[in-house]
Amino acid sequence: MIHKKKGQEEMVGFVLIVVIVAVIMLIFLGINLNKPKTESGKQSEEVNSFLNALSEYTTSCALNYEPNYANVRNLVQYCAIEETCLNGENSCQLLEKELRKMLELSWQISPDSRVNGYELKIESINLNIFEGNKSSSYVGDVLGLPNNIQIDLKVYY
Amino acid sequence: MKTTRAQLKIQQMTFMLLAVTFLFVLVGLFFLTTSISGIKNEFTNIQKENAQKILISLASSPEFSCSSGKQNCIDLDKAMIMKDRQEYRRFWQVDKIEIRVLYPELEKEVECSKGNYPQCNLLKVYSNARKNDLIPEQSSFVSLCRKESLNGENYEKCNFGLLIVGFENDT
Repeated sequence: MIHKKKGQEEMVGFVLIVVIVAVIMLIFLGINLNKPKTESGKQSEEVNSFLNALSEYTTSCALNYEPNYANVRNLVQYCAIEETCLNGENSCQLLEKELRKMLELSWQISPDSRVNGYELKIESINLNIFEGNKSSSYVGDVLGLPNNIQIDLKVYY
Repeated sequence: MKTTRAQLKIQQMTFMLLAVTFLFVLVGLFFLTTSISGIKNEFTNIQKENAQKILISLASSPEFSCSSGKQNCIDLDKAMIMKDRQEYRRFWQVDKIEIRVLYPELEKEVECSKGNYPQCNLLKVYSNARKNDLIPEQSSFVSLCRKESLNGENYEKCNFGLLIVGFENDT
């Protein structure tokens, strides 16, 4: 009877140790997983510089006279009011063409690259450019323009 | 008989202690490796952060920045003048400065020279050729503006590109 009790006590002790170790491991694992991914924040500086540089690009669209060409910032505004450029091009079509090309050249999607996909949205003019695949790990930024227009870019890794 | 039983108990105890110690050592090793890799990541991040700061300060320095005061903007005409200026070699504290025009794109890579500018897409402002293989690179998207003239009127034309900076390995 005494022997059985002792054996039971030992087993309880062993189980207790295993449980304590498991709990400690779970706590550390939880802390590690909950750490904010600092790299994501830093990477978004890249997206921010991309949006800033993209918005200053001089397009071939002029409304009043040449060479008063619009940059991407202006072109978005022209598209919002459905203007046509002096050379007959539709401002919205030109905007989409230029944005697609710049995105394609900057965020190359291939099996060797770290980029899985990207999505650029300008909701006020119903423009949505999406390439590749979405994933849970992404970085992004928003560029605000006059008249509550926002260019929203997400890059998926 | 009792001695053997006691010995057996001691043996059990020893095995138990050994097993528990081994378990703790394993757990310790696991956390040590994760924390070391964390430190390494942090070091790389700090390096990247410093590189980004240098990139920003470089783009906004009077030698490169656009006269219009735009953010992330490089005056390509100024950069062209800065090309291969020996007196600035130590000033930048970097081993390489390159400017690449991404859009509008040319069919192939054309290095800028006084003869072909602005019909080119790679401007090598400065390069420490001896260290070229060793240096890690950092880049930032920038708008690349220059003055153009049409119908007798001057205007600023901005392209889209990358500012690439190379550093010594120990930065």
